[in-house]
Amino acid sequence: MNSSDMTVLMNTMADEGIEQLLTLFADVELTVSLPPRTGLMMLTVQDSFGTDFHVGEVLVTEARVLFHGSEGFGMVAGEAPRRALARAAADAVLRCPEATVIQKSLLSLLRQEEGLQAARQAGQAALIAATKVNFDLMPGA
Amino acid sequence: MGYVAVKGGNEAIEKACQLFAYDRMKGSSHPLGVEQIKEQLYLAVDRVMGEGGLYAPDLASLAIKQSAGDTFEAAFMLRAFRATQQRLGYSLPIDTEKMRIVRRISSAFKDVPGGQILGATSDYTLRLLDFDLLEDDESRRQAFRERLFSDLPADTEIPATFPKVISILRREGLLTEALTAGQQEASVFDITRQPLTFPAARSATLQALARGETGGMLALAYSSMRGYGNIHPTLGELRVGYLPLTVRHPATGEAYVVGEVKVTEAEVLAKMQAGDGPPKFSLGYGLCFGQNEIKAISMAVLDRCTRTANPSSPAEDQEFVLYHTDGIEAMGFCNHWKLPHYVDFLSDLDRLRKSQELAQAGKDREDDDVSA
Repeated sequence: MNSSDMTVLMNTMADEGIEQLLTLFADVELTVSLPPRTGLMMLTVQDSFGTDFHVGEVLVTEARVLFHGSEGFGMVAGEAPRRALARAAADAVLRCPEATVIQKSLLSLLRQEEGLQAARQAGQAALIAATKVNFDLMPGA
Repeated sequence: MGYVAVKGGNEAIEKACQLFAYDRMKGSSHPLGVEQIKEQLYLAVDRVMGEGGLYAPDLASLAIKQSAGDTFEAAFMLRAFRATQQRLGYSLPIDTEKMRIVRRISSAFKDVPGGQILGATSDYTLRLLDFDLLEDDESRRQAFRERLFSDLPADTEIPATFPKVISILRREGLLTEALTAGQQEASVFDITRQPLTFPAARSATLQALARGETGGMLALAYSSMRGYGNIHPTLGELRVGYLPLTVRHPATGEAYVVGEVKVTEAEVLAKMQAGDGPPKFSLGYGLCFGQNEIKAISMAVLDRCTRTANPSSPAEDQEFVLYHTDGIEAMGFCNHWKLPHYVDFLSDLDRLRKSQELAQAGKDREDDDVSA
């Protein structure tokens, strides 16, 4: 995962983590170019014949911020204005070559989340894997 | 009796709404939290999101609470809510092979690449009431969790993605691939923006079925399974898992994952088609929000049924299926019968009385003729 993709980790970050992450931007000059707004994204899926179709809409929250002239984009599932804003800020900062100091702190928090997420997923995966069927042949088969 | 226009009832309606809310809270139990519904009644939440056509677990949970558990009403509320929201765009089309699987089975093959993963299911429970749940509390839950995790084999792993079961048939050329000319389409139909017309495009059919009502779809699919039709399906694969909702980053143009959406996908293999070439299996496809296996299987069966060249039963009639499986429209029409039909009925009553009078007059004349 490259550093700019790491904002995806914020989707499953606990609310406390998002608040902690937002404190990193307290002294950073950010302009909110699009305040958080909810809206709908249509989920499009490809069926087994290769036909695209719309399954239904997903409630999302979008926000955008300006940082050193470039716009950071934040879109998250559900109604989550703080998370969308945090993701937009993180997106802007991680794509800006000049913001190395804050990038370091941000990436450190995100890597911490990556570890937590990996542990959560490993626990879930182990539970699921335990339900894998092992067939035994019946006597005489 | 002449036509009498009436109005009123506002106060009674207001009090009836209040009474409905009161009935939910008049007992001595603790108020039901939305988080509790989301976490503990998640299949109901999934169903409501699927039928409402909106993936929003928090709002679906709220709707279930507000509707006192009526899934039709709850789905209606989600559909109403979505009408208040701006459409921000469409996701990038996602290939479901990228699904993060939590359950995956095949009834067609014993050995499938990646294995049969039962996941979380009630399929093998005995449907006997578990009276222990009457004493559900945190200490029991903790003990259950500890038992569950302590029993896990150490070397268990599942792959990140699984190949499709139907790829086995595809490799051997046993599956019909081509759609008929009428089903090929240049752009994706959106039934939330365009009126449904018939014959419906394949994308429109799938979208309509994806937000169909589970019970209605099951009833029609069941009619086909029982023989009102000629499909004879086998479940090639059933998957439950998470698909990434991916959009294009407005600045970089790269794929940007907004979040994950839980879905159920079903592929049914239906009876062989005899065409110009050698006989092949045909495929029915179903995919819907959340974990709703009955709906996904029913959708796949109905998808295949409605592609039958010469429909011979209601489940094979595309217009019949698509017009009668939308739960919101069906419940709305059913519920509208509760609204005053005083004038309509009065008209029916007048005509009935008049017919009876005419019939009586005719009978009297016949009696007079006979006696004369």
